[in-house]
Amino acid sequence: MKLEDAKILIGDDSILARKQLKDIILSIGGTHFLEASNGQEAIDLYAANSPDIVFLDIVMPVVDGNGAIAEIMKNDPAADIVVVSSIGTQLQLKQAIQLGAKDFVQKPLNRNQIESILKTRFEGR
Amino acid sequence: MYSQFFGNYLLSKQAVTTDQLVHAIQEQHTKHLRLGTLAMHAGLLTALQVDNVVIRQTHEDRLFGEIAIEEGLLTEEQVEELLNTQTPDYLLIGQTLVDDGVFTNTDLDKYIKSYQKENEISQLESDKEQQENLDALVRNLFLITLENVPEYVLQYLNLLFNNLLRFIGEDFTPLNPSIVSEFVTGRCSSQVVKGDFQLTSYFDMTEDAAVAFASRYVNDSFTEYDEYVQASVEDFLNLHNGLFNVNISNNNSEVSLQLDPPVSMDNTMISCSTETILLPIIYPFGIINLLISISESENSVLPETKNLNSLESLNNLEALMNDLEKMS
Repeated sequence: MKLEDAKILIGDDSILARKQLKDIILSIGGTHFLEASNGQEAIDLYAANSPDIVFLDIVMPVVDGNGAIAEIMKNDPAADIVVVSSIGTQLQLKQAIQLGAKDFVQKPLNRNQIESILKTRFEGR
Repeated sequence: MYSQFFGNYLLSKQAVTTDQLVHAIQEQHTKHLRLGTLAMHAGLLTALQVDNVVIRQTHEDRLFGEIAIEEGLLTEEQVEELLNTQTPDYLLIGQTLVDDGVFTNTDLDKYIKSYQKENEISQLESDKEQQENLDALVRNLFLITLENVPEYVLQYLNLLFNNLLRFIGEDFTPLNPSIVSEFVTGRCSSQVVKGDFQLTSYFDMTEDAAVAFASRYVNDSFTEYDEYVQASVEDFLNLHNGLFNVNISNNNSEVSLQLDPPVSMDNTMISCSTETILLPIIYPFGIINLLISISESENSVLPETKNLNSLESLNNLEALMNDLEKMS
């Protein structure tokens, strides 16, 4: 699948963090975005749209990232979830990987890291 | 990096009022250190000699260095050296206060010497010594007004000052902390760190200060308060609290802490049921009111260990990330 055709779900309660990640992915060639501002919205958007990749923050209101990972993985064991973690959430990050997250990136975001995650999954432009 | 605490030291000695200090902090960016201040700090001239040269400058339009050399007070080499040496930035705040007429050069000389002596600050210091001095300064800051501040609160503030230095700028001064029972917020973000003890911090400021704070933090130029500005302030709080968690768990594997998402507490009256410390921090763009509420669980394991600076915690974090890398 081409990156420009991929549906990309970004779940983060910070509008700034969503924008920063979106800007990076836009610059690499992604075009289809879905945005969730908490774990429950991410679960609902996933169920309705079956995105090809999910970037999820861990610390979020309503349902946190790990709650969302558990629920999404239950409904779709093949879900491709990348955890975007803030510093200082290592316990929750370990748990996220045990729950089935495929990869993780550390905030503050690094363009190269995002690029290498996308390159192993999608064809470029 | 000690200008932050020199201002606070002057407050504690009642050499300045808060208003005079705030004014000088806002004004100092328009100023440069003068040769006379530098020479006095280096111990080459007395305050009286500096004042005399300045008086002569009011009679003839010549440079301070020229007059000092002519009068045999300084050599050309000394002038050259003074102009090329790195100087502590607290000199500038001191000089600004002299200009404002708050105190005299003689007073400034005296305050600098006692500040250095009481805090054991020497001119040339390694990073490690600077870190140790910062620890001592944070401790002194609290001894002035508060007793029995838990060790982890001191660690929390130590890290905060480091993070402000790294991410926002070194031009801040903490005012004296106090215990408050309630506080009315303006624009305010708050986050709970919980585990063996619980610490809630609040970052309160005006909209204008938040716009300037966010602009510095994300290297952008925001012009008005909006959701991005709010998210930037929350992001700083989240980063800082995250680094604090890393420090605490690196220091003591028994302690595990979790972060709640940052929440907005705009225009709210915060009633404090547990001990709450208010620490105003002045930047030229405005005042950040930091509030810290603490409560401890009964079996809390409190960290009594060395302080890591944020760079060390980042290194430790890298090691952790490598471990996780292998897991995934």
